Formats: sequence, C-alpha cells, structure tokens
Amino acid sequence: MKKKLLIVCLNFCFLTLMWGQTIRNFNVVLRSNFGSDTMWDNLEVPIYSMNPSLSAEPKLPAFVIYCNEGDSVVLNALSLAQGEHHTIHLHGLDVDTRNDGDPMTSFWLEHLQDTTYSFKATHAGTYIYHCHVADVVHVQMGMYGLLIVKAANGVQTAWTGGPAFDKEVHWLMTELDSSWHFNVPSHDPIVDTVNIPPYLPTYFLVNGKSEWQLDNNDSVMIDATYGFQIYVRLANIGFYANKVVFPSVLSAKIIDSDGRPLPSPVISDTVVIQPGERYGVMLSANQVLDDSLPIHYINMNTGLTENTQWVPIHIHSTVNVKEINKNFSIHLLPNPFHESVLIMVSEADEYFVKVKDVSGKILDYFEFSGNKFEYQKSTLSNGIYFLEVQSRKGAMKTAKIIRY
Amino acid sequence: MKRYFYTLFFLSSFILLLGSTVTKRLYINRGIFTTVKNTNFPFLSFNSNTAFNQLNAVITLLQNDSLKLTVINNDIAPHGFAVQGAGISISSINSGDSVFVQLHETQHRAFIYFDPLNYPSNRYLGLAGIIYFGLPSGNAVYYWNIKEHQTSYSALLASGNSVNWNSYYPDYYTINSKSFPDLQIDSTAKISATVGDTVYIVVANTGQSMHSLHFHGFHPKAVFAEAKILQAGWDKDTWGMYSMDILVLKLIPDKPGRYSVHDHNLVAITGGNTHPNGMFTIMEIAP
Repeated sequence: MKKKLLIVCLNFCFLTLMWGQTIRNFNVVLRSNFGSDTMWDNLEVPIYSMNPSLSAEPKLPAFVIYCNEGDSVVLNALSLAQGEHHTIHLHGLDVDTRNDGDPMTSFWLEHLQDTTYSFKATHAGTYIYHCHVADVVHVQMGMYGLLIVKAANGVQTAWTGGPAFDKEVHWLMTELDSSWHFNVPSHDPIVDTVNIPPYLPTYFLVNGKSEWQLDNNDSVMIDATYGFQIYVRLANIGFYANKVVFPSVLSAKIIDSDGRPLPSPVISDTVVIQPGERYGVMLSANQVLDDSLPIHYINMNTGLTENTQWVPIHIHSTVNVKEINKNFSIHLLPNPFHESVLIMVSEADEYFVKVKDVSGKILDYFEFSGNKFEYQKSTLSNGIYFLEVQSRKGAMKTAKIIRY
Repeated sequence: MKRYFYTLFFLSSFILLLGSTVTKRLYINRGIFTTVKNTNFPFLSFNSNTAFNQLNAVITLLQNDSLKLTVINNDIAPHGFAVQGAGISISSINSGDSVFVQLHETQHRAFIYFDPLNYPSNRYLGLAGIIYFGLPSGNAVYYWNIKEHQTSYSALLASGNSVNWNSYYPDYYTINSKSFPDLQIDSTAKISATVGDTVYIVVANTGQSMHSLHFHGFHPKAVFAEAKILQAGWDKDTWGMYSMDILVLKLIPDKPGRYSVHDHNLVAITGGNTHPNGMFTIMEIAP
C-alpha cells in the first residue's frame, strides 16, 4: 500500500514538473566520409555530415535545430564514424560535462554507437552544435550547424521580453580548404592527436554558399518590406574572423551576443565576429533598398581581408510587387523560384505577359486567361527579372521575380 | 571597547583606501623558448630576476595600491618600456641601463606592459606581460598571457632581420608560454575552483594574431575590458580578442565537472601542426 502511494506521489511530482514544459527531440546522424557538397565553381567537395536522418542529403552546414526558451531538448545521436570518433558539442549552451561532447573531458562515440545529449534551453539566442573530436578537422569537414533558441513560446522577439522583429535571417560563416577535404588529415585515436597541413582556404561560405550561389538564395538574402524590423543572427564557425558591414540606412544595432542580451545596444554598421562568436543585430528597414552587403573574411594572423562575399538585400515598398496600376494586384509564389512560379492575379481576365531582364530586354512572352498561371521557365538563367503583366482592359503591373 | 573597535575598523578602511606602495623590479632577459614539442626559438622576457624565464612576470597589486617599478635592461640590445592605457611610455633603455616608473590605480583593472621599441617586433619576441590591480576579496585570480609564435619569424627578428607580417603563419600557440598538455600543470593558468566560488581571470592577448577564447560550460562576465570591441558588462562564452586587448573576467561556476577553454580558431589548438598541442586548457570545478 505504501509502495503504491509512493509511486503515485512520484508520478504526480514528475507530472507537475513536466507540466507546460515542451520536450523536443531531434535525431542527429554523425557521418564520416559521406557525401559531398557543390561549391560555386561546381567542384564537388567531400564532406562529413550531421544529418537529421540516414536518408537526408549531406550538405554544408548541417540542419538548423530550432527550439524555444524553456524547452527541454534531446538530441538522439547515432555515430557512423567509420573507424573514427564523433560527438556533439553544444557550443554556448553551458551544459554539464556529460552533455558537453568534448572528448577531452567526456565520452565519444565509436562507429554504430548512439547516445543522447540533452539540455534545457534557458536563454534565447544563437548557438552552434559541432563535433569536438579532432575538431580542427571534423569542423572543417562540415560537422557543424546552428542551434537557435527562440524566445519563450516562439514569439518574434530577440529574447523573452526583448525587442520585437518582423523577419529574421541567420548567417553561419566559415571557410573551406578543399585540399583538406580530398586528403583528410587522419586522427590518431590512441594518442588522440592529428597532424594538420597548412590551412589555406579556397572557399568562403555563408550558410554553405558563396559567390553567385548567394545571389538569390532564400536562406541568405534579406528580403523584407519597408518598415520591418529585421533580426540578423551572425555566427562564425570558421578559422577566420568575419566583418559584416550593413548599409548605414538600416541603422544596425548589435543587441546580443553568445545567447545573452548586451547591457546596452551597440550602434554600429560594422560587426566583427571571431571564430565561435555569435552576435544578434537588429536592422530597421527605413528605406527602400536594392543592394548587397559585404562579408569580409579576415585572416586571424595577418589581419588582412582575404575574401569578400556579397549578400543581397532587398527592402521593398510592398510585398515584392511594384504597383503601376491599381486595377488588379499580382502575387507570385514562390519568389524567388527555381522550377516554376505561380502568377496569381486578383481579377480573372486575359493577360499578356512580357519577361524582361534588368536592362529591359524582352526574353519571353506568353498569354493566359483566368486568374492564375504557372510559369515554367527553366531556360532562364539565375538572376533578377521583371514580369510586365497587361490585362485585356489595358491595366498594367510590373513585378520582380528572382530565379535561383 | 566599542570605541576601540570602531577606531580599528576606520583605520583598516582608511589603509585599504590609501593602498600600499609596492616595489618591483623587471629584468629584460634574452633566452631560448622551449615549445611543447621541445623545439626551440629565441625569446625575450620581462622577469623578476636576471634568470631567463619564458613566462613574463605578472605584477599583482590591490586596487588603490601604488607601484614603484624599476625596469632593468639585461639584454645586449636597447629596449623600451610602456604600460598601455597608463600614459607610461619610455622609448629606449640602453643595454645595462634602467628606468623607474610609478603607477597608481584606484579601479579594479589590468594593464599590459610591453616593449614599444621596434614595435611590434620586440613585443612579438616576447616582451609583454600583465599588471593587475585586484580586489581585496581574496578570490582566486588566474592570469592568461595568450600569444602565438612562428619559429622562423622569431629566429629572423632575434637576429635583427625584418619579417613580412602579411604572410605571418604561426606554428605554436600558448597561454603563459605553455601549450596543452603542459598548461595543465601551470597553477597560474589552470583553473581549479569549487561550485559557487568567484574566480577572476585576467586575459591579455600579447601576440600579433587575433584569438577567440571559448569557454565550455559557462558564460563569464567581463568586469573590465580594454579592447577594440569587447566591453565590460558583457556575458559571453567566446571572447574574440584583438592583439593587445586585455580583459578581466569573472566566473562563478554553477556546476561541477571538467570544462575546456580554448581558442576557437581551431588551428590555434595545434602546436607544431599537431592537435591538441596548442591554446587549450581544462578547468576543474569541484562540487
């Protein structure tokens, strides 16, 4: 009888503790020598990966793990280390030694071993997860991703009770030395050392992309409406420093770093993020803008900028449609598009559509009847185009579309 | 009896406010640096006596103290002496000569002292250390003089040649002139604390490179910062430090365990290209 009562009491206590608490589970498959990613010049670079499933396609960076402040998070890790070891280090989450994923202080996973890493998301902010075994090699090989703790209940504020935003973007910067990927420095698991060659990066990445890959990339570009507050999460998992220079018209304010609010915001168009650091920057979209902003990659030893990547930024007056005539409205879905874009108009009619490039040259022409049309044009190269849509009644509108 | 107690209390407070005068000597010594892999290169160091030690002396005082410091050039070449942020800069001290400087500080803060002559060459060759004006609280204080070294550059500069800093590529990364695992037996660097303790860490980047120190397990708070970007009051797990940045961090561990601290430019965890023989240490936090 006493035993039964004790069990009931324990269950009650447990349920009380768990009440209102969200537990989020994520699977993370840690893989050596699995897959490749394509660089801007079409070079296929072999990578290691941290995937949400066995069938997921490896890519740089690993998938973003999202949770909310107050959540309990469990990462179910399976190692396919192929003779190496792997871990998950929860960078910045201040976990205990057991869950820290540092093989120098805790355990590691051999091939086919699994474990769980768990933590309580106590502070909203931007974090990183990465393998900590022979980290200089395994991080370079691609075993890293962002872990974003949103404000409690997922509200659109930088932290619980913090400044609100309308849109957020995240940029995880790094560099890549392709010679390391084709000839991976081997890790000696017995003496726990690895000999590395000189690090001479050949690619400079934002969310795994660079050069033209950034032009119309939804995961990178800032595409927002006039008046929006835009929250930019900056993180650096590379071995170089990054300097991001925002257009001055956006009134950039650095408001948090490493998952903690700054005591007072720092008003600065320039943000330097050294390896492992994270900064949160709030932008005010107070001007229509069609521009690109530079991310400089600075050698930590020489202080020299070795590369600059340009991230597009579009602040438009309405949702991607420039109104010329108010008789009808257009919506484009998705935009940017890859395979096809659905053109939806507010009124059924006959429509005549010209596709122009930025210089005004007509590249394509088609007609449709009704109030929607799926435009498929895989022959358009990646870039910005304008749809000039004219109704049979004579009303005309122009809308910008982006193909990636 | 009560009156006697009050008098004693006020007298003690007054003495604390007045501070003490601390007299120190620094010798500029030339010697050979031994790396974690037993390789060697020429090095210069400020030491408390004429015997070369590859670790620059740490001068510790209490806030409100006054420092009376004599710097003696025990090297064959001329050197200078400066204290960043204190308005002290002596451009040249000839071989065998000495200079005398004084420094009074009322705040809880730290300074980098260094050789400004032939900047940055002499500083790069090792001549930079820490002066710390601490609190009278008795809390543990650790000192991390972080730096990197390129063996070939050290040899060239020590023999009077010039180097091209635009192609600088260090091969050793140190805290207090030691790398992992040697750092684990350096009691001034290796943090050993108990949950709830208050620990101060004075971190000075006296190297030429930027260094980004990442703490596992904790977000220490900067209680003092003389840095290009970092500011006092910030709580961070990763501290991106420019050359000649100095911080005083306050750490109150809230859980036991073993936690790493390392440069997150992960190439800097190497020494002689071997990982993890670089800027890496493990804190021990007892329950």
